[in-house]
Amino acid sequence: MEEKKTILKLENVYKTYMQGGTKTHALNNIDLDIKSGEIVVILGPSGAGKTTLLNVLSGLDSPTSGRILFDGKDIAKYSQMKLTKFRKENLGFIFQTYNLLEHLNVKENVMVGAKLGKSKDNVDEIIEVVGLSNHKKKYMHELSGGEQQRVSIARALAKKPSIMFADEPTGALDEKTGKIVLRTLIEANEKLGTTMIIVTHNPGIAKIGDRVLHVNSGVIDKEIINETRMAPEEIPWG
Amino acid sequence: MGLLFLNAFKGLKFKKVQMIGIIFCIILSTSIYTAMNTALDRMEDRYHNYLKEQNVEDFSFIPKIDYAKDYTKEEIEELKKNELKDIPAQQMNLVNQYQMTIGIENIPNIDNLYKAIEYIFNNNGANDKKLEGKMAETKQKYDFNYTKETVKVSTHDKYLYKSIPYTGSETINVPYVVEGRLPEKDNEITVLPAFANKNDIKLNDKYTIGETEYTIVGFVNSPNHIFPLISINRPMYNEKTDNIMYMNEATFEAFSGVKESSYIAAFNDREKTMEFETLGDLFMNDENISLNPLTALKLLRVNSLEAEIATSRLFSEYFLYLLLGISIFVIIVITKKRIEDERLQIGVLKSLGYKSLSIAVSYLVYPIIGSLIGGVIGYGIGVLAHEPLTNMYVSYFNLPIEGFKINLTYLFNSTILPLILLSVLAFLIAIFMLRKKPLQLLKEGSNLKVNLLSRFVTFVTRKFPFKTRFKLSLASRSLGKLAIVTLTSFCTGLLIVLVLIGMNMFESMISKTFDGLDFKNSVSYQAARTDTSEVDDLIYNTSIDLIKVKRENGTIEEVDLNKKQNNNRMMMKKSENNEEEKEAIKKMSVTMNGIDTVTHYITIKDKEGNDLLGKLKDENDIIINKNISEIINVTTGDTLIFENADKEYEFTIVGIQDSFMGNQAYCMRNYISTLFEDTVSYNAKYTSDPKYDNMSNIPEDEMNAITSVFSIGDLKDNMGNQFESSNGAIYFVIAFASVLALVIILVIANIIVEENKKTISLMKVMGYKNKVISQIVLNIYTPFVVIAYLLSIPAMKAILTEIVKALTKDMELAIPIEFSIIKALAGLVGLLVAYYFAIFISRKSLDKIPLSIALKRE
Repeated sequence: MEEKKTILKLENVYKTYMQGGTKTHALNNIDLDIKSGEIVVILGPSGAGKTTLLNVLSGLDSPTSGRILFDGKDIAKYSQMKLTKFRKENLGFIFQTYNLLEHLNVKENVMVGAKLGKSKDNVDEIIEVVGLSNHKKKYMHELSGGEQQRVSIARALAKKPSIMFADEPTGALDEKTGKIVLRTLIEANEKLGTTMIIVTHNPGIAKIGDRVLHVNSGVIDKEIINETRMAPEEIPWG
Repeated sequence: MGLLFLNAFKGLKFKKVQMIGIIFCIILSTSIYTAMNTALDRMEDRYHNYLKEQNVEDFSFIPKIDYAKDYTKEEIEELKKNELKDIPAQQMNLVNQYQMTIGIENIPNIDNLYKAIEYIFNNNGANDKKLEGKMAETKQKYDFNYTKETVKVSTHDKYLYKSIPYTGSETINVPYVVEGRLPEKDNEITVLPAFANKNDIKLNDKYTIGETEYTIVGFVNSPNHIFPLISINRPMYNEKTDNIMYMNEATFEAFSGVKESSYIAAFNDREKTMEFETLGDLFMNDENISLNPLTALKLLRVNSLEAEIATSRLFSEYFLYLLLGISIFVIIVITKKRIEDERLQIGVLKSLGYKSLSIAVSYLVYPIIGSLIGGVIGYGIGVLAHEPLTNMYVSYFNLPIEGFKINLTYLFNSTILPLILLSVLAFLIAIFMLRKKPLQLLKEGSNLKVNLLSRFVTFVTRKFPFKTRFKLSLASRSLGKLAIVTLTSFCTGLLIVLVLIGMNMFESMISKTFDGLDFKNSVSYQAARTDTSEVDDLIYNTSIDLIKVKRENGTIEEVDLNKKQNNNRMMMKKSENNEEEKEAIKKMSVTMNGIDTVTHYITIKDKEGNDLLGKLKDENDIIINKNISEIINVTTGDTLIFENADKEYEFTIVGIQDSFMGNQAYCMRNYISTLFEDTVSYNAKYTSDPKYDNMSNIPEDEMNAITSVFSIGDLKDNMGNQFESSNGAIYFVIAFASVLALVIILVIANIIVEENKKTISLMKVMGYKNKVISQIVLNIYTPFVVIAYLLSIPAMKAILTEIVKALTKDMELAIPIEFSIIKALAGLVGLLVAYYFAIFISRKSLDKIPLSIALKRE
C-alpha cells in the first residue's frame, strides 16, 4: 500500500489559557501526524480538549508553544493575514450549527465557498456529491437540519480544500440524519480525496475513520487504527 | 463579495422599518436642501443682472458744503429769491439767521443752525448749483454718475406710501415694469406687485389716498427697494400696507407727504460693489462729498437679499449635514446590529478564508440603498416644492425671477454625497466590528458583553424593583442605541427650545420696547420750536459725546471703548496709527432726550418697575438706559461728563431705565435745550393728536418743518403681524422636529424588539402579558429622553446668548433671552408624544414574536 504523505504535523504543542484567574492546560505536549486523504476522528468526553486540538490544528487558534507544520511550513508563526490566506487556499470547515446565509438558496450558499477556490465551475458537481441536486433553488428555511448540514459541507468542499475540519457535525441531528451527513463526508473523502478531521464525543462515529485519537485532559492517551472503516449506516449511535 | 451583498440586499425586506427610517431622514434633508437652493438660484441668478440692468444706486452722499465759508450773503439772497422763495416762514427765519452769520467767526452753537440750513438747502435744491461745480472733479475721480432723488413719504390710515416722481429720463434706479406701464398723465400711479396682490388690485383700478383718486396703470418694482424698507420709522415691511408709487411730476408736487431728498450715485463700473465701511473710508477725506449715513439703510434695501441668500444657503447645508449626521448614527447602529446577529455566519466565512474587507462591503447595502432611493426622491420632492418657496421669497423681496433650471449639483449632493458619507462611515464601523478572529465570533455568548455603564447601572439599581432594574439594564446595555436616542432627543429639544425662545424673545422685545409708550405718533422737526403744549410730551433730542465718568468716591475715569461697543462707526478707520480713531473710541455717542418731569405718555421705569421720572429733580440729574450702564459700568450716584463743542457738561445718574434700545439718556428739557438754543425748546414730540395719523391732515407749513412722523401703533402692529406670520414657520419647525424624533425612535424601538426577541418570547412563555412586556422592553428610554430635553434648554439658551452677543455687538441693541416654564413643558409634551407614539407602533412587531423562539438554540 502506498505510504500516504504527511500533510499536517504537530510537534510538542502546548496550549494554555487563563480562565477566571485559573491557568488551564488545554493541550499538553501533543505530537501528531495527519496523512493526506485519511479520515481522523478525535474522540473524547466534554472538556477533554478535542475542540481546542481541532482549532490549533486548523490555525483558528495559536499554540502556546510548539510547531504546526503544513507541507513543512510552521503555520503557528503566521500572521492573521497569512493565516486567512492559508485557510482560504487549503482548509474547509463545518460546525455543529450550520451558519448558512439565510437569504441565499442552496446553490448560492455553495457558491459562497466556491468563490474562494481557484475553479468556480464545480458547484453542481459538489451539490451532487452531497445529494442535494433537487434542492438547488431552495432556501435554508425550506430544508431540514440534515439537509442544511449537507449544504454547509458542500460550501466547504466547493473550494477544494486539502483538509476538512468538522466539529461535532452531527451534534444537532438525529441518528438517521446524522448518518446521512456522515455518509456525505465519506463520499467527499472517497471521491475528492479530501482529508477529514472529525471531532465528536460519539464513540460510534469513531468507527468510520481510518484513525481514532482519544483525547483526555489535553493529551492523546490512545490512538486506534481501524483496519477497515465501518459504513455510517452500520455504526452504533450514541 | 457579490453573493454576500446579495444576501444583505435580500435581507432588507425583513428590516423595513429601519430602511424606511434611513430613507426618510435622507428624503427630509435632501428635499429641504434642494427646495431652498433651487428657490435661491432663481432669485440669485436674476439679482445680479437686475442690479446692473436697472443701474441701482451704489451709495448716497452729502455734498460737503462749508456753510461758514462756501456761501456769500449775496448768494444766499439769490437763493431766497429763487429756490428758497416758497419755504415756510420759520425756515426763512433760519435762513436769515444764517445769512447774518456769514463772515462772523466763533459763533457759539452754530453747528445746530448749520444742520438745519443743510436740511433746508438740500430739500429745496438750494445746494445744486454749488454742488455742480464741486462734483465735476469728484465724479471723474471716483468714476460715478449721480442724480438728486426726491421722494415723499406719507401715511394714511394704516398704509405707508412712498411716492417717487417719474420723468422718463431716469439713469439711476430705473423702475422695472412687471405689468402695465409707467405713469404719463396726471393722477396716474403705479403700485408694487406685492401690494397689488395683497390688496386685490388690478390694472386700471381706481385708488383713493386722502381726497385724491388715482388710476393704477402699472405694477412696478423700485429696483433700489428689493427689500422695500420704505422708512426707517417703519422697519418691518408689510406687503399689505407698504407701497411704493411712481407718478408724474405734477402729481408728485400735489402729493402730500414728508419730502426727503438725497444725492444718489452709481459707479460706472457695474461690477464694483462696496461695503458700507469701505465706502466710508473711500470718501472720508474727500473735500467735496461725504458718505450719507442713509447709505446704510439704502444698501440694506438692496443687499439684504444677498445676506438672506447666503444665510439660507448656509442653513440648508447645515440642515443637510445635521440630518445626514443623524442618519449616520442610525446606520451605525443598524450595521452593528446586523454584524452582531450574523457573527456565527461571519465566523464561518472568516474560517473559510473570507477577508474582513469583503464581508464589510456587503454591509454597505443600507447606505447605498438609502442614499440612492432617499436622495432621488428627496431631490424630486425638493424640485416640486421649490415653487411655493420661491413665491414666498419673491413676495417679500421685490425682484423679478428667472424660470426654473435643473441644477444637477443638487442631485449630486442629494445622492452621491450621502452615499459617500454614509458608506464610508458604515464601512469603517463594519471593518472595526469585523476585526475579531473567527474563533472569537464563533464562541457562544461572545456577543453578550456587559459594558461599564451597564455594570454601574446594575450596581446602583440593585435595590430597585425588578421592572425598573430590567428596564435600566436593557437601556444601558447598548451605548450606541442609548446615544442615538439621547442625541436625537437632545437635538429635537434644541430645535423646540430655539423656536419657543424665539417666540418669547420677540414678544418680550416688543413689550419691553413699547412698554411705557402710550402715545400714537412721534413727530420730529428740522429745527427747534418754542411753542408749548398741554397735551403732548415735548422733547429736545440731541446727540452728545460721553467722555468721562466720575465715581462717587471722586475718581475720574476716561471712557474707553477699545474692547467695547462704539456706536459711532462712521468715525472708525482701519489704520491703527490714526489719531482720530484713537480719539473716537474714547467717546460714546449718547442720544440725550430732554423731557419734562410731568408727562402724558412717557414713563421711564427701572428693572423692578419703579417710576424714575420723579427722580429728575435738578437740572444736572440724568437717567440712563441699561445699555449705557452695562457698557461703561456705571450705576446710580456716578457722574457722567459729556462734551459738546469743546465744553463739558456734568450729569449725575439718578436712575437706570430697563430698556434695550440704543444709548439713551434722559434729563430736564428746560436745561438741555437752553444749552444749545436761545430759549427752552423742543424738536420732537410724542402725541396722540389724530391729525398725525394721516399726513394729508397736517397743515402744509408744519409739514414742511417736519423731518419724520413715526407711528408707534403702526410699528407695534407691524411687528406683531410679522411675528404672527412667522409663527407658521415656527409651528412647522416644531412639527418637523417631532416627526424626526418619531422616526428615529421608531427605528431604535424596532431594533430593540429584534434584539430582544428571545427575551420577549421567554417572557411570553413564562406568562407575562404583552402590555407588561412592552412596558419593560420598549419603554426604557423615557428618563433619557426627558433628561436630554432638559439639558437642551440651558444649552440652547447659552448658544443663543452667544449668537445674539455676536449679532448685536455693533448694534445699539440688546435682546433678552428668556424662557418660560409653561413653554418648556409644552416642548417636553411634544417630544414625549412623538416618543410614545413610536413605542405604540413598535408594539405591533412585539406582539408578532412567537413563543417558539424561546426554545431555539442560538
